[in-house]
Amino acid sequence: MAATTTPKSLNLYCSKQYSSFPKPKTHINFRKNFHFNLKPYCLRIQGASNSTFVVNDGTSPDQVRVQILSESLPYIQKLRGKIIVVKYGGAAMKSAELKASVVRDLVLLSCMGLRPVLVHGGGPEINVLLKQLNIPAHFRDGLRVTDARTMDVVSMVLVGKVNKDLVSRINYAYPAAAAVGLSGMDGRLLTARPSPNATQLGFVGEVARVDPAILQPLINSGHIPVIASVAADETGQPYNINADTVAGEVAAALGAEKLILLTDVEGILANREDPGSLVKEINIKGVKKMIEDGKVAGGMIPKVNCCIRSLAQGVRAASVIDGRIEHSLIHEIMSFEGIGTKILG
Amino acid sequence: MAAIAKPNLLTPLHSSSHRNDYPLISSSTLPRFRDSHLSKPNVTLKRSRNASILPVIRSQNSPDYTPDAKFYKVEAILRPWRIQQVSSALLKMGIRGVTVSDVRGFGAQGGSTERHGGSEFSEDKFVAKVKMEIVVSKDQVEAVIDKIIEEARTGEIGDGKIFLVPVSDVIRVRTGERGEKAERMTGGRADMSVTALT
Repeated sequence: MAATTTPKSLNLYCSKQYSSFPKPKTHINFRKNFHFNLKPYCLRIQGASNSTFVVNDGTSPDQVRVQILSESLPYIQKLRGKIIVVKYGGAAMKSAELKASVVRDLVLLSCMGLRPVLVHGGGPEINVLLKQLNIPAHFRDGLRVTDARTMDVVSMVLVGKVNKDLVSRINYAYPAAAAVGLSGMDGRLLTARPSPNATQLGFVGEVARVDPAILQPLINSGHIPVIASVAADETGQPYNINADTVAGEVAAALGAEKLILLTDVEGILANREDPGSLVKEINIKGVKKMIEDGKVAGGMIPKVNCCIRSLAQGVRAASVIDGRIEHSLIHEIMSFEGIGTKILG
Repeated sequence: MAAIAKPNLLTPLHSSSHRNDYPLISSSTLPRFRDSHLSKPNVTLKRSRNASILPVIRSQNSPDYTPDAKFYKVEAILRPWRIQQVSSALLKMGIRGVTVSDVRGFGAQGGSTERHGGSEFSEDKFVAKVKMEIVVSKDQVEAVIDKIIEEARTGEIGDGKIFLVPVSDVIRVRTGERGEKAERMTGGRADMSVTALT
């Protein structure tokens, strides 16, 4: 799956015809987990005569892998040391394989020198426990109506189950990576305030303040922070905050380079019925116009609004990508076109 | 266009005019101005001698009077990360001289709060902004303002404000040129429109 490369990236860096692959100067240590699943893809390499040919005759998987890794250099250089906030939720959290794929991509990014920060929600898990405890689950306009009992359950599931599950997956599958699980209360990372319609929704909050001081030493020492979207207000009362909002505000507070939201759709579609009409790149003005025109609707509007908010606060790019596709995270970051919709400032 | 000068703008002008032949504002008028700032919002520039260079600009109690000048300073207070975008766009437009400074400020928005770095800032909490000052001739002002707005606008609270201030004179330090010649920069907007016509 990792062998898909876009023509643009190849054209930039394969100007010479590769008759024989040069021996790599640095020794690249491939750990056992790190295997590429090479299927016979047709790689377009721009040789002397601009023609496409199948690379599979005669070139071994090792040679192709080396070439692809070498081409990744510009992306790695551009993003090395930059903070990337990934919001993980929805369908990508439901299946174990997709979870494993996202975790693996995160570790890959971390090993390459980028600094990922993971923010997660966990709606489905909360519903499971609510059902077991016979507490009814109500939703209004897509937001969970959270009374005191539901708030306890939300806090327990998000911070206790989902957060630690992700942290252990990262730590125990990839000993080189180190994840640390945090909630909004830890280190006063997030301070909540009741959202405007708290009377109808209960303990649903908005982010009042972000204090990224606790994240900086973790990120600098190479850890991956995993943040649960639960936070307390000034009095210590816990609030349930939408994970997209938390991701956007944390990205703004950290001065992140990218904000990536993993969802259940391909991205923003210019025409809702036509899955091929994916909007690849758009700016704030354009996307606001799309909301006005009604092209963006339903659950996508709060996501887009949180993207606009974080872009207005200095994040360079916010992307909405399809979390159901394996390795979508790598595809979005390490390719020219990306895989979903990128919203720029 | 209506423009009201802010008092602290006078200090740079004042400090540069140490040549006593052509003072724009003599020191004796500065305290006078401060009083007028408290009582009357309009600008009072008093010329003590040598009225040959510039016409007397006197602002009065008449509210319809708007000071007119050949040059205007566009003062834009913007978000810090938008500066790069705005200045590249201005360069493309032919505006080649800009001064930028880091400032802090707050501007109440009727109860809604501004978000900066993830946190909400209510009134009286200072937020970091950047001030961009551009002095252009009168005919270029509207284009500059439109371009700044186009590049810096995000639609969220905290985008900033633009102030327009009349400038009585522009002097180039290196050559001593004044007026139109000093404001014009080679390869700038004036040259661009000329080449477009020819």
